[in-house]
Amino acid sequence: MNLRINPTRMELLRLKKRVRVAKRGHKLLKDKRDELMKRFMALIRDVKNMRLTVEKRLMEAYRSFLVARAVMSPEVLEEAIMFPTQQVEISIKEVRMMSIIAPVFTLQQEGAMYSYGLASSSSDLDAALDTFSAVLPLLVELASVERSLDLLAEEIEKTRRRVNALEYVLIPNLEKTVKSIAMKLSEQERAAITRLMKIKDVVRAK
Amino acid sequence: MYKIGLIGDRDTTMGFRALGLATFEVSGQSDTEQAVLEVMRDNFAVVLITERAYARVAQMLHEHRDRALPVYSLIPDNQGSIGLGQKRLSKMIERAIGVDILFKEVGKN
Repeated sequence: MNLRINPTRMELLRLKKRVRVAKRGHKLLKDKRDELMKRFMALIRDVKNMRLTVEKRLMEAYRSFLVARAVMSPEVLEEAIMFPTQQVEISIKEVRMMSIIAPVFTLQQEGAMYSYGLASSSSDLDAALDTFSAVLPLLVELASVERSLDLLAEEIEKTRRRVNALEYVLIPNLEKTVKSIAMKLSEQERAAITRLMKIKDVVRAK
Repeated sequence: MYKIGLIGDRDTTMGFRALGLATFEVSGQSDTEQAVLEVMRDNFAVVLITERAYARVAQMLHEHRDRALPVYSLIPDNQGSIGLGQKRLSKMIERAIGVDILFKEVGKN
């Protein structure tokens, strides 16, 4: 499809410039897409393995908690963990990477983890809380890398669309229009030359 | 400073509550939605959500996916994983690459 533009020399120059810019943009975006893809591929395998290990560790934690629950009476257990003395907080750092801003979470644990007296609780509960506490940093890290992965995927999708729009729509259109304007201009030029020649003949014949 | 939350059933929340996470114990549709709303109002950075609870509010979370925080992380509950966490991962791969190269056996085909 040609763009509707007057076939003038001005427009031709303007369009040629646009083609140049579009081609440069296309190349840059393509490079960006490739680099994003590279990072994505590097991350994805790690994240997958990480998710699998975290899920496994979490199941272990549940299991040990189940053991603790089995040996303690529900009331005592409830009482023991009702008011946690430990506080967990997260601080966020932003990491810029290829025009996306990925969050990096750091976990901060404060206070004593065992919020109960040693007399009334079983040691299984201690063990269970230990495993939970060991899984928590992994979970937080997993959340952060999965988030970056999600953002990366979105950015790749966006960039790919832009690359394709430039490659298959905008640049061909512009080039076609440039060509048709160039043809029209040279046609005009030829018309002018023949007209001049004709006039010359007429003048000479007098 | 940001908080960590956990939305899940009673058995899952109990263990994490002792660690100082803000836990939301949910069992049905409306209380899960309520928990998500609450989490969005407060300054949570990471919200762990069990796959079963996530399945109930997936639509709702999808509508708010433009928000930077909190980040929802899927965890299996104590009855084991139903594969949503991995499915979400393979969706990302499909979006980025076009085909799922890692979880072929989990995805379709």
